[in-house]
Amino acid sequence: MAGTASSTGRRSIGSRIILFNEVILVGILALICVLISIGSPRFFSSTNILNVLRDSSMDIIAAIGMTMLLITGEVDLSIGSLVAFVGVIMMDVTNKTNSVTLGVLAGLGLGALTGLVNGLVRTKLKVNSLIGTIAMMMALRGGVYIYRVAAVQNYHSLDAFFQIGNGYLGFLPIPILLMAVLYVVFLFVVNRTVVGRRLYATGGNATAARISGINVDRLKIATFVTSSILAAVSGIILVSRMNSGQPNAGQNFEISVVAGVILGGTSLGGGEGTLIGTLIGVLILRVINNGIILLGWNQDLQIVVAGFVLIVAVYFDNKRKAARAKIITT
Amino acid sequence: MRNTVSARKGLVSRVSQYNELGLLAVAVILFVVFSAGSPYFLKVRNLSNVLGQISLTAIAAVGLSLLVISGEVDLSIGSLQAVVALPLLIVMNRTGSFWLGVVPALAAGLLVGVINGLLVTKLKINSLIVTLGMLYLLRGFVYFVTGKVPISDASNNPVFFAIGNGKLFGFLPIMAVLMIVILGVFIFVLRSTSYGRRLYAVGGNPEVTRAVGISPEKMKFSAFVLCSLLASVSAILLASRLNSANHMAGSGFEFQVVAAAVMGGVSLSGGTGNLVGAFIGVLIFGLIQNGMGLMNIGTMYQLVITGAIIVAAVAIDELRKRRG
Amino acid sequence: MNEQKVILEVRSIVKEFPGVRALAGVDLTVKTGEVHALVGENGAGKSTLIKILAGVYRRDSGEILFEGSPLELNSAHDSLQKGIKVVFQELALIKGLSVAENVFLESFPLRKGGTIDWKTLNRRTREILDSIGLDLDPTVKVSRLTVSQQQMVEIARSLSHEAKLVIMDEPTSALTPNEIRLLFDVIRRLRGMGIGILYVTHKLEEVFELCDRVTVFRDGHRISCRAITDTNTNEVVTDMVGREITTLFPRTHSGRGDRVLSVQRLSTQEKLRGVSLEVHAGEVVGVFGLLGAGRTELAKAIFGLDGVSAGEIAVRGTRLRPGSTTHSAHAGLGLLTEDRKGEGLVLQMSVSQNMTLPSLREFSAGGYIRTRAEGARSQEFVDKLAIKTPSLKHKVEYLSGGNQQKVLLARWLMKKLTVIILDEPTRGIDVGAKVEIHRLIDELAKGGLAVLVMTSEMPELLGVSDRILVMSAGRITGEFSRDQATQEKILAAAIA
Repeated sequence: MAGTASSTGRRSIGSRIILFNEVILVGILALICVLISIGSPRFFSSTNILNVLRDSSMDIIAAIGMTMLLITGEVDLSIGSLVAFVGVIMMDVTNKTNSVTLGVLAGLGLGALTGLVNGLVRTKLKVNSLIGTIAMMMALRGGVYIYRVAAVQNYHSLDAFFQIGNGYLGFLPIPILLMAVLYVVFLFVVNRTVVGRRLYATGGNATAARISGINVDRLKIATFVTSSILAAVSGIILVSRMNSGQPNAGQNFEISVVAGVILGGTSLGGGEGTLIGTLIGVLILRVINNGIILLGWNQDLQIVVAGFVLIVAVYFDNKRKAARAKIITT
Repeated sequence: MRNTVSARKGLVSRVSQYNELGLLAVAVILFVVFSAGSPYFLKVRNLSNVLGQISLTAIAAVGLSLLVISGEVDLSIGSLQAVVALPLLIVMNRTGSFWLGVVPALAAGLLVGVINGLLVTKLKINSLIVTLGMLYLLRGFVYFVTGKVPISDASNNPVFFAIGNGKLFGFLPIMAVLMIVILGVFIFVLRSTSYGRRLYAVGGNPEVTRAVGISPEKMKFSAFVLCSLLASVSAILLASRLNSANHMAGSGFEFQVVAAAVMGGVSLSGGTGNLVGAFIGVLIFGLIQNGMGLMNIGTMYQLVITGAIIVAAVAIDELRKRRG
Repeated sequence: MNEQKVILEVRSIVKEFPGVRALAGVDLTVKTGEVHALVGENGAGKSTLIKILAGVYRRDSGEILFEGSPLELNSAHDSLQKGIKVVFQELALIKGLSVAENVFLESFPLRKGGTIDWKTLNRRTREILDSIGLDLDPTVKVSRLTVSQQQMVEIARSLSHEAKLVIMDEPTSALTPNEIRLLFDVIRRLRGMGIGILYVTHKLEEVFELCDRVTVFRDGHRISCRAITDTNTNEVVTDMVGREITTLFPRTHSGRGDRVLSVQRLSTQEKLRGVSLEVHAGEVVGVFGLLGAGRTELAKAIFGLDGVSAGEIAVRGTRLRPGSTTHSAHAGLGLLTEDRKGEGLVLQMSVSQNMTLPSLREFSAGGYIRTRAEGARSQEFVDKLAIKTPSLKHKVEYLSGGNQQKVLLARWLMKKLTVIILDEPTRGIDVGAKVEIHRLIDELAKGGLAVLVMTSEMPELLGVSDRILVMSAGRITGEFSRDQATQEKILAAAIA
């Protein structure tokens, strides 16, 4: 298969594969939307679309961080447990201090701390981030139950708290607004700034990055922290919507986010991935879940789907890499 | 001209030789600490409980160690605990026979092992990802099929009960006997058969084994199947202990087993480690959990501590790799 | 052993890769009971031929005759079964298993009942080891052996497979002189057993000491095949190089400025033992050493890529923090690594992105990258270094080796450096590009940079350096000025 492609031929095949990817994804998304709407006409109603987008906002916000992390070659499976813990802490602090601001700060602070520990475990103890963040997932889940065995109810009835997850700015739900703002900001950061370039370099070839003067350890820690803070934002939105801090929240959140990001074209090996792909990948998963609900299927299928998508997405990721490798000479 | 071996005499390589001794020392220390910490620890009933509890993990650890030695991993064995119990309880309740239920139970486990094996060896997907995806997929499947309601033993089947709870001579759990037999068999296989030695080769350097005519894919596939099969045995024992097919069974089990094996010297990069070390790792884990329970440390704290132990075990493994 | 037959005959083998004709129709014969040397420069086609014989590559056309009959090799296993054993530089052993288990990996002797017959396994391994004069304990784990001993185990494996042809690829790169002598003894014994040996190397002194015939490859062609007794080093070198040995190296820089880089008693845990050196502005210092001498370790330790256990590094008087690459980068150091794909390039990134990686601050305003400025600057260097690429956005992994190296050089030229360390800057690069890179090195020195070049190519070393340092086993064992240096003196210091 390593044929006699000229150098210009190689290049166009290479970039064609990349573009191909996003186009295929949008096509899949469109196809799924059509299929679902055949089964349930409610799908395309404005309420439903708004709901889907509002639900996706939490996924997408966390997926932004996860994408950046995966680009550097790491992963974080503790975000599910983190979301629960953040919710519990935020509600508790808001109850006790009667200040939503303090509650938010507590939640974000927990996120930052978690990210810091994850980053240190990876860079200083050299523990593989998959295992390290799984351990963190266990520790946080245990931790939240130690902190509070039962759900923390809302004793403050502050309106600001309610608005975060349920309010509107004009016709736009606030979660969607938050997502849009964060997305645009990070899109800019990842694609156009020095930091973004360094993320790709670190994931693509850590040694080359270090030789170029990039402090790889510090960058990875910062990315872990950013990712956890973003996950904490999702947790804050969630607790506002559920109106109580539940220790068992966020179950399987991590797998949906990771599956969506990988589906969107971000590679597990690092150095590749786009936020655009992530957006579409996460939306596809969300839409599938929405379809499962609308069509009245058993909701536990959602995890089945997520697990399945993860495997399939990685399979295609591998194929993509193998196809590119064939184009290059040995 | 003679060429004599000058084996590297560094401290680290000496330590790695005596890895198992070091672990045994840790186990002994724990024993002493817990005996001092709680008057119930040394009671026969407690020790036989510990023996029984570690049997579940140990049997699964044998299968997992085989797989890790060959260079792969299986994170779905926890969810498998719930999956395998389903056909067991369903058929047992229908037919009243435990043994009739065992057949489809083991078959289910075998099937999962085959699927994992094919996805990894034929489709070449990373085993960590495949089995992580399976972890979620299978768990969701169990929720779906059972509606999150445990299936209990409708007929109070005595054999079913005895398997997991029975004791020989009043103190030796039947589970432990099973564990000893399985350990014995597989220690022998790893040490004295071509298959066993080649498993190490495949994990150490698969391309070299391919050049010698051995198929790394076939070896790894067999290891996946063995791992799931042994995890299925654990699942059956667990179901007996729980007296039901519980949709939450085995949650977090896979990480305990992996951590125990890694602690016992079975490196995640493949090609090294042995079952004796893995067993001691399981023993240490079991002692810690038992001790924590006796000292009234809540399960949630145990979860946190287990997480910390996993990180420590892998960090030390990494250190070992870098030095060795 | 008077009757020598031809065990291997290779006729008109052609092998092409996209853009490169590795073998353009080569012939080769190896007889039983002979040690046949295959020599040639980098890129001559030696390793391609070996890989074809090992079953790793498939030939495009031509014939292979083994013991007179045509041979089709479809896999590495095929090759081994037919009686060909290749000992590569990266030893193909299972570190976690014992010597005996490695030797008999393909088929362990079994007892009745199917379990491994350890006694027979160890005994037969012992026998094989004895037959080549080795005293190794067959039960020892391979991971505990030295590289030389591991090599011996590989050779023992060939005997257990009853190999008739043993091919050795650069076998002495990592060996001490004593170990080399041992290896030669073993090879002579193999020859005595009637085995044919193909000995691939670039070390001519070994060829003339050990081998019976020598074949020279150049640029994918066979240039000559002669008996050792009928030829001499000069003739072989001329065949290898195809040109006058006096290749011109462009040198226009002169004079040296202040001392800029000072390294004192640098030691690392693994290799370096108290290395001290200094480089002045406008000076090119060449560091020579055989494989395993520690050149790459030195380069990485100075730059801070690896940790250091003792010693100091200072640039213009400021002490560097050991092990910190950011600090080194700020101090004006640059490093061109030996392994450009594994450590130098970010393959998924474009030409311009790779070039500007250490200099991003130059093109950024408050974190935002000004892509137009970046593009313009990158284009400057693409033109200046004549880098062949369809565009700046082209992913660097699609470029040829020489052009990739130029991208890396451009990366460092773009920055205002004080010291640049180049580790094997022309390895695996075609002759034309080599000259250009040498010209660039000269320009760098002219521009006032302190240049430290690690190389294993003698002509390059002698042509490029103002001063030459020789390393062996982690120490500096010789220092020569350009006028004093001779190949013999340098080699002597390298083997010390």
